[in-house]
Amino acid sequence: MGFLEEVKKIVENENVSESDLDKVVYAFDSSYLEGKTNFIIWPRNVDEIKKIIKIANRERVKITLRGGGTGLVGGAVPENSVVLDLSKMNKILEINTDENYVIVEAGVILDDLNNELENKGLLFPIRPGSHAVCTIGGIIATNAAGINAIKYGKVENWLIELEVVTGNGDLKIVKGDEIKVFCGSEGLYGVITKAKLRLTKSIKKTTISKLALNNYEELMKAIKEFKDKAVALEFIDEMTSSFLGMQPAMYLIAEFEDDSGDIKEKEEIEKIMRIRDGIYAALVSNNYSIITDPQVHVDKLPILLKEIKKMGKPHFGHVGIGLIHVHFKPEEVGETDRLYELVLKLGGKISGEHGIGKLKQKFLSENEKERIMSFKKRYDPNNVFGELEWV
Amino acid sequence: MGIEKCSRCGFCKVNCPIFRVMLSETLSPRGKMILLKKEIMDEVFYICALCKSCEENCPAEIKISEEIKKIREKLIKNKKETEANKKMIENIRKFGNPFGKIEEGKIPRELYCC
Ligand SMILES: Cc1cc2nc3c(=O)[nH]c(=O)nc-3n(C[C@H](O)[C@H](O)[C@H](O)COP(=O)(O)OP(=O)(O)OC[C@H]3O[C@@H](n4cnc5c(N)ncnc54)[C@H](O)[C@@H]3O)c2cc1C
Ligand code: SF4
Ligand code: SF4
Repeated sequence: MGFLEEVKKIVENENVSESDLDKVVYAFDSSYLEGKTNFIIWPRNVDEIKKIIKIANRERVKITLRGGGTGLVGGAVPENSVVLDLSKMNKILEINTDENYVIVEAGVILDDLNNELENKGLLFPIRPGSHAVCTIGGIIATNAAGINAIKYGKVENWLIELEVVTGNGDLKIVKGDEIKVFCGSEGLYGVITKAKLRLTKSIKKTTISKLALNNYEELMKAIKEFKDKAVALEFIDEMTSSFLGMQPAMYLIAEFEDDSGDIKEKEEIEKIMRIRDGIYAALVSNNYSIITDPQVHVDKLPILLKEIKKMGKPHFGHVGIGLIHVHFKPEEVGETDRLYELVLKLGGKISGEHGIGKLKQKFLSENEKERIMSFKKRYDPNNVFGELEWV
Repeated sequence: MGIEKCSRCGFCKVNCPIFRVMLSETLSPRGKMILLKKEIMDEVFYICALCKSCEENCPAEIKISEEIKKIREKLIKNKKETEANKKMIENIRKFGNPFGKIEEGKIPRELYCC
Protein backbone atom coordinates (compact mmCIF):
# COMPACT_ATOMS: atom_id res chain seq x y z
CA MET A 1 0.00 0.00 0.00
CA GLY A 2 1.34 3.44 -0.93
CA PHE A 3 1.57 6.51 1.33
CA LEU A 4 -1.66 8.05 0.02
CA GLU A 5 -3.69 4.87 0.52
CA GLU A 6 -2.41 4.57 4.09
CA VAL A 7 -3.20 8.24 4.81
CA LYS A 8 -6.72 7.78 3.47
CA LYS A 9 -7.24 5.18 6.18
CA ILE A 10 -6.22 7.68 8.85
CA VAL A 11 -7.98 10.92 7.87
CA GLU A 12 -11.49 11.34 6.53
CA ASN A 13 -11.81 11.49 2.75
CA GLU A 14 -12.64 15.20 2.74
CA ASN A 15 -9.35 15.89 4.56
CA VAL A 16 -7.03 14.66 1.86
CA SER A 17 -6.90 15.93 -1.70
CA GLU A 18 -5.07 15.17 -4.88
CA SER A 19 -7.23 17.47 -6.98
CA ASP A 20 -5.45 19.44 -9.69
CA LEU A 21 -6.95 22.71 -8.44
CA ASP A 22 -5.69 22.18 -4.88
CA LYS A 23 -2.27 21.28 -6.24
CA VAL A 24 -2.08 24.59 -8.09
CA VAL A 25 -3.21 26.73 -5.16
CA TYR A 26 -1.19 25.00 -2.42
CA ALA A 27 1.98 25.51 -4.43
CA PHE A 28 2.06 29.11 -3.11
CA ASP A 29 2.26 31.14 0.07
CA SER A 30 2.66 34.95 0.33
CA SER A 31 6.20 34.87 -1.09
CA TYR A 32 6.88 35.03 -4.82
CA LEU A 33 7.97 31.37 -5.00
CA GLU A 34 5.95 28.66 -6.70
CA GLY A 35 6.40 25.05 -5.62
CA LYS A 36 4.97 21.67 -6.46
CA THR A 37 2.86 19.35 -4.33
CA ASN A 38 1.52 15.87 -4.84
CA PHE A 39 -1.35 16.16 -2.43
CA ILE A 40 -2.67 18.02 0.57
CA ILE A 41 -3.70 16.70 3.98
CA TRP A 42 -5.71 18.54 6.64
CA PRO A 43 -5.20 16.62 9.90
CA ARG A 44 -7.81 17.05 12.64
CA ASN A 45 -5.83 15.95 15.68
CA VAL A 46 -2.39 15.04 16.94
CA ASP A 47 -2.95 11.28 16.66
CA GLU A 48 -3.57 11.63 12.94
CA ILE A 49 -0.38 13.69 12.63
CA LYS A 50 1.70 11.13 14.53
CA LYS A 51 0.48 8.33 12.26
CA ILE A 52 0.97 10.37 9.06
CA ILE A 53 4.53 11.36 10.00
CA LYS A 54 5.42 7.77 10.97
CA ILE A 55 4.36 6.55 7.55
CA ALA A 56 6.12 9.45 5.81
CA ASN A 57 9.29 8.60 7.74
CA ARG A 58 9.08 4.94 6.77
CA GLU A 59 8.22 5.64 3.12
CA ARG A 60 10.68 8.58 2.85
CA VAL A 61 7.92 10.96 1.80
CA LYS A 62 8.63 14.68 2.23
CA ILE A 63 6.17 16.87 4.15
CA THR A 64 5.81 20.67 4.01
CA LEU A 65 4.00 22.28 6.94
CA ARG A 66 1.51 25.07 6.43
CA GLY A 67 -0.52 27.36 8.66
CA GLY A 68 -2.09 30.53 7.26
CA GLY A 69 0.24 30.53 4.24
CA THR A 70 1.25 34.17 4.87
CA GLY A 71 4.97 33.46 5.11
CA LEU A 72 7.08 35.77 2.98
CA VAL A 73 10.11 33.51 2.50
CA GLY A 74 8.54 30.40 0.99
CA GLY A 75 8.60 28.21 4.11
CA ALA A 76 5.18 26.75 3.32
CA VAL A 77 5.92 26.34 -0.40
CA PRO A 78 6.19 22.60 -1.17
CA GLU A 79 9.10 21.09 -3.08
CA ASN A 80 7.64 17.97 -4.66
CA SER A 81 6.25 17.26 -1.22
CA VAL A 82 2.98 16.67 0.55
CA VAL A 83 1.41 19.73 2.18
CA LEU A 84 0.20 19.23 5.76
CA ASP A 85 -2.18 22.12 6.40
CA LEU A 86 -2.84 22.72 10.11
CA SER A 87 -5.80 25.11 9.59
CA LYS A 88 -8.39 22.60 10.75
CA MET A 89 -6.69 22.19 14.13
CA ASN A 90 -8.17 25.44 15.34
CA LYS A 91 -9.49 24.90 18.84
CA ILE A 92 -8.79 27.16 21.81
CA LEU A 93 -8.49 24.52 24.54
CA GLU A 94 -8.13 26.52 27.76
CA ILE A 95 -8.04 30.15 28.81
CA ASN A 96 -6.72 30.52 32.35
CA THR A 97 -7.55 33.96 33.77
CA ASP A 98 -5.89 33.27 37.15
CA GLU A 99 -2.49 32.47 35.74
CA ASN A 100 -2.87 34.37 32.44
CA TYR A 101 -2.16 31.64 29.95
CA VAL A 102 -3.95 29.99 27.05
CA ILE A 103 -3.60 26.54 25.47
CA VAL A 104 -4.35 26.45 21.74
CA GLU A 105 -4.06 24.15 18.78
CA ALA A 106 -1.58 25.26 16.15
CA GLY A 107 -4.10 26.20 13.46
CA VAL A 108 -5.86 28.91 15.50
CA ILE A 109 -5.75 32.26 13.70
CA LEU A 110 -4.06 34.95 15.81
CA ASP A 111 -6.94 37.46 15.62
CA ASP A 112 -9.50 34.76 16.46
CA LEU A 113 -7.50 34.06 19.63
CA ASN A 114 -7.24 37.72 20.59
CA ASN A 115 -10.96 38.28 19.95
CA GLU A 116 -11.71 35.52 22.46
CA LEU A 117 -9.16 36.84 24.94
CA GLU A 118 -10.46 40.39 24.74
CA ASN A 119 -13.70 39.32 26.41
CA LYS A 120 -11.61 38.26 29.38
CA GLY A 121 -9.41 41.37 29.49
CA LEU A 122 -6.39 39.46 28.17
CA LEU A 123 -4.11 39.72 25.14
CA PHE A 124 -1.44 37.77 23.27
CA PRO A 125 0.57 40.86 22.41
CA ILE A 126 2.69 39.86 19.39
CA ARG A 127 0.92 41.39 16.42
CA PRO A 128 2.53 40.84 13.01
CA GLY A 129 1.00 42.71 10.07
CA SER A 130 -0.64 39.43 9.02
CA HIS A 131 -2.45 39.09 12.39
CA ALA A 132 -5.84 38.47 10.78
CA VAL A 133 -4.60 35.53 8.68
CA CYS A 134 -1.55 33.93 10.31
CA THR A 135 -1.80 30.98 12.70
CA ILE A 136 -0.28 30.34 16.10
CA GLY A 137 1.81 27.47 14.66
CA GLY A 138 3.08 29.77 11.91
CA ILE A 139 4.07 32.61 14.23
CA ILE A 140 5.88 30.19 16.54
CA ALA A 141 7.65 28.47 13.65
CA THR A 142 8.88 31.84 12.32
CA ASN A 143 9.38 33.45 15.76
CA ALA A 144 7.37 36.38 14.47
CA ALA A 145 7.40 39.90 15.85
CA GLY A 146 5.00 42.79 15.60
CA ILE A 147 5.13 46.52 15.33
CA ASN A 148 5.30 46.79 19.14
CA ALA A 149 8.45 44.66 19.46
CA ILE A 150 10.23 47.27 21.60
CA LYS A 151 8.00 46.36 24.52
CA TYR A 152 6.78 42.86 23.72
CA GLY A 153 9.71 41.37 21.80
CA LYS A 154 9.17 38.24 19.70
CA VAL A 155 6.96 35.17 20.04
CA GLU A 156 9.78 33.32 21.86
CA ASN A 157 9.20 35.58 24.89
CA TRP A 158 5.61 34.35 25.27
CA LEU A 159 5.89 30.56 25.11
CA ILE A 160 5.46 28.32 28.14
CA GLU A 161 5.21 24.89 26.55
CA LEU A 162 4.88 23.33 23.10
CA GLU A 163 3.57 19.99 21.88
CA VAL A 164 5.52 18.80 18.85
CA VAL A 165 5.53 15.75 16.57
CA THR A 166 9.12 15.12 15.45
CA GLY A 167 10.37 13.59 12.20
CA ASN A 168 9.95 9.99 13.35
CA GLY A 169 6.36 10.59 14.41
CA ASP A 170 7.03 10.80 18.16
CA LEU A 171 5.17 13.21 20.40
CA LYS A 172 7.35 15.54 22.41
CA ILE A 173 6.52 18.10 25.10
CA VAL A 174 8.96 20.95 24.75
CA LYS A 175 9.80 23.19 27.73
CA GLY A 176 12.59 25.43 28.97
CA ASP A 177 15.58 26.13 26.72
CA GLU A 178 14.42 23.64 24.07
CA ILE A 179 11.50 25.99 23.27
CA LYS A 180 13.96 28.28 21.49
CA VAL A 181 14.90 25.41 19.17
CA PHE A 182 11.35 24.95 17.90
CA CYS A 183 10.43 28.63 18.01
CA GLY A 184 11.91 29.80 14.72
CA SER A 185 12.36 26.25 13.38
CA GLU A 186 10.41 27.19 10.20
CA GLY A 187 8.84 23.78 9.80
CA LEU A 188 12.20 21.96 9.60
CA TYR A 189 12.32 19.90 12.84
CA GLY A 190 8.74 18.96 13.65
CA VAL A 191 5.04 19.78 13.59
CA ILE A 192 4.02 22.20 16.35
CA THR A 193 0.59 20.86 17.27
CA LYS A 194 -0.29 22.69 20.46
CA ALA A 195 1.05 25.64 22.47
CA LYS A 196 0.70 27.06 25.95
CA LEU A 197 1.10 30.82 25.64
CA ARG A 198 1.70 33.51 28.25
CA LEU A 199 -0.70 36.42 28.12
CA THR A 200 -0.78 40.02 29.26
CA LYS A 201 -3.62 42.31 30.28
CA SER A 202 -5.48 44.12 27.47
CA ILE A 203 -4.07 47.52 26.60
CA LYS A 204 -6.07 50.27 28.33
CA LYS A 205 -4.59 53.43 26.89
CA THR A 206 -2.83 54.54 23.71
CA THR A 207 -1.28 57.91 22.86
CA ILE A 208 0.83 58.88 19.87
CA SER A 209 3.46 61.38 18.74
CA LYS A 210 4.03 62.07 15.06
CA LEU A 211 7.21 63.84 14.00
CA ALA A 212 8.33 65.07 10.57
CA LEU A 213 12.11 64.68 10.33
CA ASN A 214 14.63 66.72 8.34
CA ASN A 215 17.53 64.29 8.57
CA TYR A 216 18.79 61.05 10.14
CA GLU A 217 20.37 62.95 13.07
CA GLU A 218 16.90 64.05 14.10
CA LEU A 219 15.67 60.47 13.71
CA MET A 220 18.42 59.12 15.98
CA LYS A 221 17.76 61.82 18.58
CA ALA A 222 14.05 60.97 18.62
CA ILE A 223 14.75 57.21 18.91
CA LYS A 224 16.99 57.88 21.91
CA GLU A 225 14.39 60.09 23.54
CA PHE A 226 11.45 57.70 23.06
CA LYS A 227 13.02 54.25 23.23
CA ASP A 228 12.39 53.56 26.90
CA LYS A 229 8.85 54.93 26.89
CA ALA A 230 7.37 53.90 23.51
CA VAL A 231 5.95 50.47 22.59
CA ALA A 232 6.36 51.12 18.85
CA LEU A 233 8.54 53.48 16.82
CA GLU A 234 7.61 53.41 13.16
CA PHE A 235 9.75 55.20 10.57
CA ILE A 236 8.32 56.17 7.16
CA ASP A 237 10.54 57.41 4.31
CA GLU A 238 9.66 60.15 1.76
CA MET A 239 8.69 57.74 -1.02
CA THR A 240 6.36 55.73 1.22
CA SER A 241 4.79 58.87 2.69
CA SER A 242 3.95 60.12 -0.81
CA PHE A 243 2.27 56.76 -1.59
CA LEU A 244 0.25 57.25 1.61
CA GLY A 245 -0.98 60.64 0.44
CA MET A 246 1.02 62.46 3.13
CA GLN A 247 3.22 65.51 2.57
CA PRO A 248 6.38 63.75 1.29
CA ALA A 249 8.86 63.71 4.18
CA MET A 250 10.49 61.36 6.65
CA TYR A 251 8.26 60.65 9.64
CA LEU A 252 8.48 58.90 12.97
CA ILE A 253 5.30 57.67 14.61
CA ALA A 254 5.75 56.83 18.28
CA GLU A 255 3.10 54.83 20.12
CA PHE A 256 2.78 54.79 23.93
CA GLU A 257 0.61 52.88 26.35
CA ASP A 258 0.49 55.85 28.74
CA ASP A 259 0.12 59.63 28.47
CA SER A 260 3.58 60.28 26.96
CA GLY A 261 2.33 61.00 23.41
CA ASP A 262 1.22 64.46 22.22
CA ILE A 263 -1.87 63.12 20.45
CA LYS A 264 -4.46 61.90 22.92
CA GLU A 265 -7.80 62.20 21.09
CA LYS A 266 -9.14 58.78 20.08
CA GLU A 267 -10.23 59.84 16.59
CA GLU A 268 -6.90 61.45 15.70
CA ILE A 269 -5.03 58.40 17.04
CA GLU A 270 -7.20 56.07 14.97
CA LYS A 271 -6.58 58.18 11.86
CA ILE A 272 -2.79 57.92 12.29
CA MET A 273 -2.99 54.19 13.10
CA ARG A 274 -4.98 53.64 9.91
CA ILE A 275 -2.27 55.36 7.89
CA ARG A 276 0.43 53.32 9.66
CA ASP A 277 -1.45 50.03 9.19
CA GLY A 278 -2.06 50.90 5.53
CA ILE A 279 1.62 51.17 4.59
CA TYR A 280 1.92 47.63 3.22
CA ALA A 281 -1.29 48.10 1.23
CA ALA A 282 -0.08 51.39 -0.26
CA LEU A 283 3.22 49.87 -1.34
CA VAL A 284 1.57 46.80 -2.84
CA SER A 285 -0.88 48.88 -4.86
CA ASN A 286 2.10 50.82 -6.23
CA ASN A 287 3.59 47.53 -7.42
CA TYR A 288 6.22 47.36 -4.63
CA SER A 289 4.90 43.97 -3.54
CA ILE A 290 8.16 42.30 -2.47
CA ILE A 291 8.94 43.01 1.19
CA THR A 292 12.24 42.41 3.01
CA ASP A 293 13.03 42.66 6.74
CA PRO A 294 16.73 43.29 7.46
CA GLN A 295 17.72 44.28 11.00
CA VAL A 296 20.81 46.11 12.24
CA HIS A 297 21.92 47.53 15.57
CA VAL A 298 20.01 50.77 16.09
CA ASP A 299 23.29 52.76 15.96
CA LYS A 300 23.88 51.49 12.39
CA LEU A 301 20.51 52.76 11.14
CA PRO A 302 21.78 56.03 9.58
CA ILE A 303 24.27 54.12 7.37
CA LEU A 304 21.66 51.55 6.33
CA LEU A 305 18.96 54.14 5.66
CA LYS A 306 21.31 56.30 3.54
CA GLU A 307 22.20 53.28 1.39
CA ILE A 308 18.57 52.24 0.98
CA LYS A 309 17.72 55.78 -0.06
CA LYS A 310 20.47 55.59 -2.71
CA MET A 311 18.89 52.36 -3.98
CA GLY A 312 15.68 54.35 -4.48
CA LYS A 313 13.35 51.86 -2.78
CA PRO A 314 10.41 52.80 -0.56
CA HIS A 315 10.98 51.74 3.04
CA PHE A 316 9.57 51.92 6.53
CA GLY A 317 10.23 50.03 9.71
CA HIS A 318 10.32 49.40 13.41
CA VAL A 319 13.37 51.58 14.07
CA GLY A 320 13.24 51.03 17.84
CA ILE A 321 14.65 47.56 17.16
CA GLY A 322 16.64 48.49 14.02
CA LEU A 323 14.32 46.66 11.61
CA ILE A 324 13.59 48.18 8.21
CA HIS A 325 11.13 46.87 5.59
CA VAL A 326 12.52 47.68 2.16
CA HIS A 327 10.09 47.04 -0.69
CA PHE A 328 10.93 46.00 -4.26
CA LYS A 329 8.94 45.56 -7.45
CA PRO A 330 8.59 41.93 -8.64
CA GLU A 331 11.01 42.62 -11.49
CA GLU A 332 13.58 43.98 -9.00
CA VAL A 333 13.87 40.80 -6.90
CA GLY A 334 17.50 40.33 -7.95
CA GLU A 335 18.39 43.58 -6.19
CA THR A 336 17.54 42.15 -2.75
CA ASP A 337 20.92 40.36 -2.61
CA ARG A 338 22.70 43.74 -2.62
CA LEU A 339 20.67 44.79 0.39
CA TYR A 340 21.42 41.59 2.31
CA GLU A 341 25.16 41.86 1.58
CA LEU A 342 25.13 45.40 2.94
CA VAL A 343 23.26 44.36 6.08
CA LEU A 344 25.71 41.53 6.78
CA LYS A 345 28.60 43.98 6.34
CA LEU A 346 26.98 46.16 8.98
CA GLY A 347 26.90 43.16 11.35
CA GLY A 348 23.12 42.88 11.02
CA LYS A 349 20.68 40.09 10.26
CA ILE A 350 19.12 39.44 6.87
CA SER A 351 15.82 38.69 8.60
CA GLY A 352 14.52 40.36 11.71
CA GLU A 353 11.09 38.72 11.70
CA HIS A 354 10.03 36.90 8.50
CA GLY A 355 12.58 34.07 8.72
CA ILE A 356 15.05 32.45 6.30
CA GLY A 357 12.72 30.03 4.50
CA LYS A 358 13.72 29.00 1.01
CA LEU A 359 14.70 32.48 -0.09
CA LYS A 360 17.65 33.40 2.12
CA GLN A 361 19.50 30.16 2.87
CA LYS A 362 22.55 31.20 0.85
CA PHE A 363 23.19 34.00 3.35
CA LEU A 364 23.42 31.75 6.41
CA SER A 365 26.79 31.72 8.20
CA GLU A 366 28.68 28.44 8.74
CA ASN A 367 27.76 28.57 12.44
CA GLU A 368 24.07 28.95 11.67
CA LYS A 369 24.22 26.11 9.16
CA GLU A 370 25.91 23.81 11.70
CA ARG A 371 23.32 24.66 14.33
CA ILE A 372 20.45 23.85 11.98
CA MET A 373 22.09 20.60 10.82
CA SER A 374 22.62 19.38 14.37
CA PHE A 375 18.94 19.93 15.25
CA LYS A 376 17.90 18.32 11.98
CA LYS A 377 19.95 15.24 12.89
CA ARG A 378 18.38 15.11 16.35
CA TYR A 379 14.72 15.73 15.50
CA ASP A 380 14.31 14.84 11.81
CA PRO A 381 17.15 12.52 10.79
CA ASN A 382 15.41 11.29 7.63
CA ASN A 383 14.54 14.80 6.41
CA VAL A 384 10.77 14.23 6.43
CA PHE A 385 10.38 17.99 6.77
CA GLY A 386 12.60 18.72 3.78
CA GLU A 387 16.25 18.72 2.89
CA LEU A 388 18.55 21.64 3.57
CA GLU A 389 19.55 23.51 0.43
CA TRP A 390 23.27 23.54 1.18
CA VAL A 391 23.68 19.88 2.20
CA MET B 1 -7.23 47.20 -10.05
CA GLY B 2 -6.37 44.03 -12.01
CA ILE B 3 -5.47 40.62 -10.65
CA GLU B 4 -1.83 41.07 -11.67
CA LYS B 5 -1.54 43.28 -8.55
CA CYS B 6 -2.40 40.38 -6.23
CA SER B 7 0.50 39.81 -3.83
CA ARG B 8 -1.15 36.72 -2.27
CA CYS B 9 -1.19 38.41 1.15
CA GLY B 10 -4.33 36.48 2.09
CA PHE B 11 -6.15 39.42 3.70
CA CYS B 12 -9.18 38.64 1.52
CA LYS B 13 -9.61 35.31 3.32
CA VAL B 14 -10.36 36.95 6.67
CA ASN B 15 -14.07 37.55 6.23
CA CYS B 16 -14.84 35.27 3.30
CA PRO B 17 -17.80 33.16 4.48
CA ILE B 18 -16.83 30.30 2.18
CA PHE B 19 -13.26 30.15 3.45
CA ARG B 20 -14.25 30.55 7.10
CA VAL B 21 -16.43 27.45 6.88
CA MET B 22 -14.51 25.26 4.45
CA LEU B 23 -10.93 26.28 5.43
CA SER B 24 -9.79 25.48 1.91
CA GLU B 25 -7.36 27.85 0.18
CA THR B 26 -8.73 26.79 -3.18
CA LEU B 27 -12.21 28.00 -2.27
CA SER B 28 -10.85 31.24 -0.76
CA PRO B 29 -10.62 34.47 -2.75
CA ARG B 30 -6.81 34.24 -2.66
CA GLY B 31 -7.01 30.74 -4.11
CA LYS B 32 -9.35 31.94 -6.81
CA MET B 33 -6.94 34.76 -7.71
CA ILE B 34 -4.14 32.18 -8.04
CA LEU B 35 -6.32 30.09 -10.39
CA LEU B 36 -7.26 33.19 -12.38
CA LYS B 37 -3.62 34.19 -12.83
CA LYS B 38 -2.99 30.68 -14.14
CA GLU B 39 -5.99 31.11 -16.48
CA ILE B 40 -7.69 28.05 -15.01
CA MET B 41 -11.44 28.17 -15.58
CA ASP B 42 -13.36 25.82 -13.36
CA GLU B 43 -16.70 25.44 -11.71
CA VAL B 44 -15.02 26.34 -8.41
CA PHE B 45 -15.78 29.96 -9.36
CA TYR B 46 -19.47 29.22 -8.69
CA ILE B 47 -18.58 28.62 -5.03
CA CYS B 48 -18.76 32.27 -4.05
CA ALA B 49 -21.59 34.32 -2.55
CA LEU B 50 -20.50 37.49 -4.39
CA CYS B 51 -20.75 39.21 -1.00
CA LYS B 52 -17.62 41.36 -1.60
CA SER B 53 -16.32 40.96 1.98
CA CYS B 54 -12.98 40.04 0.46
CA GLU B 55 -12.74 43.38 -1.34
CA GLU B 56 -12.97 45.36 1.88
CA ASN B 57 -9.63 43.94 3.02
CA CYS B 58 -7.72 43.76 -0.26
CA PRO B 59 -4.69 46.10 -0.11
CA ALA B 60 -4.40 46.02 -3.90
CA GLU B 61 -8.06 47.04 -4.25
CA ILE B 62 -8.80 44.18 -6.63
CA LYS B 63 -12.48 43.88 -7.56
CA ILE B 64 -12.49 40.20 -6.73
CA SER B 65 -16.22 39.58 -7.13
CA GLU B 66 -16.22 41.30 -10.54
CA GLU B 67 -13.38 39.02 -11.63
CA ILE B 68 -15.36 36.01 -10.44
CA LYS B 69 -18.47 37.19 -12.30
CA LYS B 70 -16.46 37.57 -15.52
CA ILE B 71 -15.23 34.00 -15.21
CA ARG B 72 -18.76 32.74 -14.59
CA GLU B 73 -19.89 34.43 -17.80
CA LYS B 74 -17.10 32.68 -19.68
CA LEU B 75 -17.96 29.36 -18.03
CA ILE B 76 -21.58 29.67 -19.08
CA LYS B 77 -20.53 30.53 -22.64
CA ASN B 78 -18.46 27.34 -22.57
CA LYS B 79 -21.47 25.40 -21.28
CA LYS B 80 -19.84 24.82 -17.87
CA GLU B 81 -22.72 25.32 -15.52
CA THR B 82 -23.65 23.68 -12.26
CA GLU B 83 -26.71 21.46 -12.22
CA ALA B 84 -28.28 23.72 -9.55
CA ASN B 85 -27.78 26.79 -11.73
CA LYS B 86 -29.34 25.13 -14.76
CA LYS B 87 -32.30 23.93 -12.70
CA MET B 88 -32.84 27.38 -11.19
CA ILE B 89 -32.95 29.07 -14.60
CA GLU B 90 -35.28 26.38 -15.93
CA ASN B 91 -37.59 26.89 -12.91
CA ILE B 92 -37.67 30.66 -13.37
CA ARG B 93 -38.58 30.19 -17.04
CA LYS B 94 -41.27 27.59 -16.27
CA PHE B 95 -42.73 28.72 -12.94
CA GLY B 96 -41.51 32.31 -12.46
CA ASN B 97 -39.45 31.39 -9.38
CA PRO B 98 -36.20 29.48 -8.70
CA PHE B 99 -37.87 26.79 -6.54
CA GLY B 100 -40.00 25.08 -9.14
CA LYS B 101 -43.64 24.20 -8.72
CA ILE B 102 -44.84 25.32 -5.30
CA GLU B 103 -48.08 23.84 -4.10
CA GLU B 104 -50.53 26.04 -2.23
CA GLY B 105 -49.47 26.40 1.44
CA LYS B 106 -46.29 24.30 1.02
CA ILE B 107 -42.67 25.39 1.60
CA PRO B 108 -40.22 24.31 -1.16
CA ARG B 109 -38.05 21.37 -0.04
CA GLU B 110 -35.10 22.14 -2.26
CA LEU B 111 -33.65 25.58 -2.85
CA TYR B 112 -31.95 25.91 -6.20
CA CYS B 113 -29.51 28.75 -6.12
CA CYS B 114 -26.41 29.93 -7.98
C1 LIG C 1 1.01 41.40 4.76
C2 LIG C 1 1.95 40.63 5.61
C3 LIG C 1 2.49 41.23 6.74
C4 LIG C 1 3.38 40.52 7.55
N1 LIG C 1 3.86 41.13 8.68
C5 LIG C 1 4.69 40.45 9.49
C6 LIG C 1 5.19 41.07 10.70
O1 LIG C 1 4.85 42.21 11.02
N2 LIG C 1 6.02 40.34 11.47
C7 LIG C 1 6.37 39.06 11.16
O2 LIG C 1 7.11 38.46 11.93
N3 LIG C 1 5.93 38.46 10.03
C8 LIG C 1 5.09 39.11 9.19
N4 LIG C 1 4.62 38.51 8.05
C9 LIG C 1 5.09 37.16 7.68
C10 LIG C 1 4.15 36.03 8.14
O3 LIG C 1 2.85 36.46 8.29
C11 LIG C 1 4.60 35.45 9.43
O4 LIG C 1 5.81 34.82 9.20
C12 LIG C 1 3.63 34.44 10.08
O5 LIG C 1 4.18 34.08 11.30
C13 LIG C 1 3.37 33.22 9.25
O6 LIG C 1 2.28 32.51 9.82
P1 LIG C 1 1.41 31.50 8.94
O7 LIG C 1 0.47 30.80 9.85
O8 LIG C 1 0.82 32.18 7.79
O9 LIG C 1 2.53 30.48 8.50
P2 LIG C 1 2.85 29.82 7.07
O10 LIG C 1 3.15 30.85 6.07
O11 LIG C 1 1.83 28.83 6.74
O12 LIG C 1 4.21 29.08 7.44
C14 LIG C 1 5.35 29.79 7.82
C15 LIG C 1 6.45 28.81 8.23
O13 LIG C 1 6.08 28.12 9.43
C16 LIG C 1 6.01 26.72 9.21
N5 LIG C 1 4.85 26.24 9.97
C17 LIG C 1 3.56 26.67 9.85
N6 LIG C 1 2.79 26.04 10.75
C18 LIG C 1 3.60 25.20 11.44
C19 LIG C 1 3.40 24.27 12.51
N7 LIG C 1 2.21 24.08 13.05
N8 LIG C 1 4.46 23.58 12.98
C20 LIG C 1 5.69 23.77 12.45
N9 LIG C 1 5.95 24.62 11.45
C21 LIG C 1 4.92 25.33 10.95
C22 LIG C 1 5.91 26.55 7.72
O14 LIG C 1 6.44 25.32 7.30
C23 LIG C 1 6.72 27.72 7.22
O15 LIG C 1 8.09 27.41 7.23
C24 LIG C 1 3.74 39.19 7.21
C25 LIG C 1 3.18 38.60 6.06
C26 LIG C 1 2.30 39.30 5.27
C27 LIG C 1 1.71 38.64 4.07
S1 SF4 D 1 -6.29 40.54 -0.43
FE1 SF4 D 1 -6.04 41.17 -2.57
S2 SF4 D 1 -3.82 41.17 -2.88
FE2 SF4 D 1 -4.21 40.00 -1.01
S3 SF4 D 1 -4.40 37.84 -1.70
FE3 SF4 D 1 -6.46 38.70 -1.69
S4 SF4 D 1 -6.79 39.43 -3.78
FE4 SF4 D 1 -4.60 39.15 -3.53
S1 SF4 E 1 -17.32 37.65 -2.74
FE1 SF4 E 1 -16.96 35.43 -2.84
S2 SF4 E 1 -14.73 35.25 -2.53
FE2 SF4 E 1 -15.32 37.32 -1.83
S3 SF4 E 1 -15.72 37.08 0.38
FE3 SF4 E 1 -17.71 36.81 -0.67
S4 SF4 E 1 -17.86 34.61 -0.97
FE4 SF4 E 1 -15.70 35.01 -0.50
